[in-house]
Amino acid sequence: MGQFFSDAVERALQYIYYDLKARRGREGFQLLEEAAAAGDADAKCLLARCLYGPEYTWPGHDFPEDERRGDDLMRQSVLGGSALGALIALRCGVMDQQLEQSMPQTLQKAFDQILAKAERGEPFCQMVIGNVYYWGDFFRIQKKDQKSFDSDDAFLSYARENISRCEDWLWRAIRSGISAGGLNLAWFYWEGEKGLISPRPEKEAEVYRYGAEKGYPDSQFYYANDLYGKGEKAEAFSYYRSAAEGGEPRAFFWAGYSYELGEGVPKDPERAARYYQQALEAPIREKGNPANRLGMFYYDGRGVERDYAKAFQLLKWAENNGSPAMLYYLGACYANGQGTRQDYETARAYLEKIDWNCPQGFYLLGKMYCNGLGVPEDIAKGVDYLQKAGELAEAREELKHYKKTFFGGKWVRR
Amino acid sequence: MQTNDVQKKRFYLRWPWNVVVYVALVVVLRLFSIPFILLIMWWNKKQQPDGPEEGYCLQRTRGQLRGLIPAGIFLLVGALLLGFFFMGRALPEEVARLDEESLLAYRFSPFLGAIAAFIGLVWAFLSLRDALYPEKSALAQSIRSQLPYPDEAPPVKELFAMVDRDLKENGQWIGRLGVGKEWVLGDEASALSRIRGVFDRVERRTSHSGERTRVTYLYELWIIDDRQQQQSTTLRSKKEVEEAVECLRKRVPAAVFGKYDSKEYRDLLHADEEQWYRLEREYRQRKARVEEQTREEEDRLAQNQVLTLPDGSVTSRITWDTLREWLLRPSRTGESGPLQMVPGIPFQGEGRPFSRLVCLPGGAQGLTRILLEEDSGSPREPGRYAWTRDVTFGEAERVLRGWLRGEIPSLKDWTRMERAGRTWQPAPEERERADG
Repeated sequence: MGQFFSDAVERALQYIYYDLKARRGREGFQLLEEAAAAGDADAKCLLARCLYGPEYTWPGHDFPEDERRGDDLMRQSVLGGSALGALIALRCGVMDQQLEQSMPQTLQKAFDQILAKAERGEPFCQMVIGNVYYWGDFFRIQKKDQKSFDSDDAFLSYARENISRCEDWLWRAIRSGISAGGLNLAWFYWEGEKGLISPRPEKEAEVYRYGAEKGYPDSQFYYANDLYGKGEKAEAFSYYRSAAEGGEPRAFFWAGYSYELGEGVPKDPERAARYYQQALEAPIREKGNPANRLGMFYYDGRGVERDYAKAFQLLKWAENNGSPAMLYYLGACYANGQGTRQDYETARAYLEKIDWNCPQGFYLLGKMYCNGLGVPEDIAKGVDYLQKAGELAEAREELKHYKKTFFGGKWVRR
Repeated sequence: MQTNDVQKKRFYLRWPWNVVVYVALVVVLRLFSIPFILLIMWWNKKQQPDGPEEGYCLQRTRGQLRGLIPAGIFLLVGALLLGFFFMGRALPEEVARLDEESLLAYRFSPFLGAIAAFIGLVWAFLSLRDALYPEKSALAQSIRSQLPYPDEAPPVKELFAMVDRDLKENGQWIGRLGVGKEWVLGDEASALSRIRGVFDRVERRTSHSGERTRVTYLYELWIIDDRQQQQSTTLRSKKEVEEAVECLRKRVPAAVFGKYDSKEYRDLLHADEEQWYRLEREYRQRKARVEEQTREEEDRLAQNQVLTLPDGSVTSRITWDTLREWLLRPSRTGESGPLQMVPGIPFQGEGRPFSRLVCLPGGAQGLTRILLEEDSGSPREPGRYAWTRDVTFGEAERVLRGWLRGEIPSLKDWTRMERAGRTWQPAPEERERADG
């Protein structure tokens, strides 16, 4: 038996929450499965939390999602007498009146048990206590509402006093080694509590910076976001890379991007491509950017062996999934029949949307207009595009095939 | 009903009527004929948008008639000088009155006149020979000199057709220099495979006569071949020379490039047998290196189709080894899944375009089903017909290897299928044959 929970649960907490860099989340999950199967009520609620999705643990673990099973396990945990289960069930909405009446202890008793563990230094319990205060679950635990007070002021004073307690507990949790506590604390500083506590946005970054400096990959990611938003890109990229090295999947794209741009590190297209690939395989929702970047890499043969089929598949997938279309690359794929069937009309539709200086795109358009590929032949317009392509060798070569007539100055084929 | 496939031939002034018209214009209008002649020449060129109908080579030899103009000038100068001399002989008292400088000119006039007349005659002879007897022209001789056995060269018509065909299909024109895949046509012709050196000559020459300073520019391209022969072409500007060199650098990258009369030029032109052997070896090494780089580049770039594997993954990096592994997979694992290859641009073969090959491998012993889908003509519509056949592993290998090169097998014993929604059924005539 561990100091606070069973051995299995304590080890699982270590793997899933306290030591993200060890990448042993799966092992922790397995420990919880086994302990839950053996009837460990605390393991059941922690397992349920894993099954609720990455926002309850960490996206880097890539746990399977199964909300129904999670709810079921959570109920079992509460009925099995887990104080942790009772407080977490309250938070995730499983704790209905019927369950509350059926549980072997009161919510207050459960809270007191976890509070005692938190005070003795257990990080996860410190976070749970902090969350009870942050989310206002203490009203239900202490069976109080506005009617319990003589005046509004008394009620507000009670609410303010209790919500403010989250700050101390969440800080304790972060300092004890659980980075997940930082997210609610950062929100607490960012938003405050309407009518009760004023926001303190300047302290939000402080939370993330503390976590980042402690080496928590998720905090590094959030802190890097903050720095990037402030325009401190070099430092932001440095944290993105650290986060990615620690296994934070949301940072993979940015780490790759920094290696692509050579921001704060020497340019390394191979490494950039590997990070983009990792971002695509990671359990995160935002995959449009890595798909587009990797698509371009495959097209150009940068950092990976050139593969037009893969390039087109990625670029098209990104576009179909709501990311901005890479107009030149998709246009070039269609115009040249690279990775897809040649289709000049579609190519033109993409290329004509280009509104920046893109010599290669102008060259393709020029060639298509000059030769009537997918459009009625219009040599003048084509030459115009070819001239817009400037010093591009292919465009200059193509221009040699056309000349202006002596009379009338019309562009014709030589 | 006749189709409009054959383009209507445009009218233009053919040889020798164009010359007749030019001469007539000169006779009638004298100097004023020049703009009209230029206008007719421009119009004639415009009427032949696909290049001269008579061919580039013949046009070039006939164009040598223009040499009659400088030849005529030389003859005229020669005649004037000789006339001056003979007039002096008839009027010695006039000669005695000449100042010292004019006297010197008088004494030299018979020699200068004879030389000018001789040059004029030779120039006229060469111009007429080239224009009227193309088989004896300098151009024909230069083409013959590029053949492996010049003495066994075919008639001039075939020689010219060979060069014309290449220039028509692959020619890039820089002024009057045409560069094809096999030939370079300038004032003379060079075979690309024989070129060992390309040298540009851009020179500014000044000459002084009295108080006048005359500046002339030389823009020439000199080619040295593997028989140490030289072919030169005069171009119009420095830009043309640069473009010509740039173009040849792409077509014969292993050749030596440099300036006319440079060390490289002299080394190549005056190399003795031993030196030439060394130069040839260096050339072959450079060529092999360039070919290797080109092959690697082509391998890298020749990703002209998309292979979709049974697991849904795609790649353009298709190798026979990958295909073979999938073809043999049923023998190894007992599992079979369809492979699909779609070219970016449909392949032509058996009189129709094909846009897709689907293959259901049967392993080393079983039969592999192959389906070749005809292209609909539109990238957004699937094909209506397809041809299918169950083949052995060996035949499948032949078909797939061919498809990788863009080749379509003979469809003689294949079953023609017609699209029926998302699947295929035998096409009507096939069904009838099957019923019959």
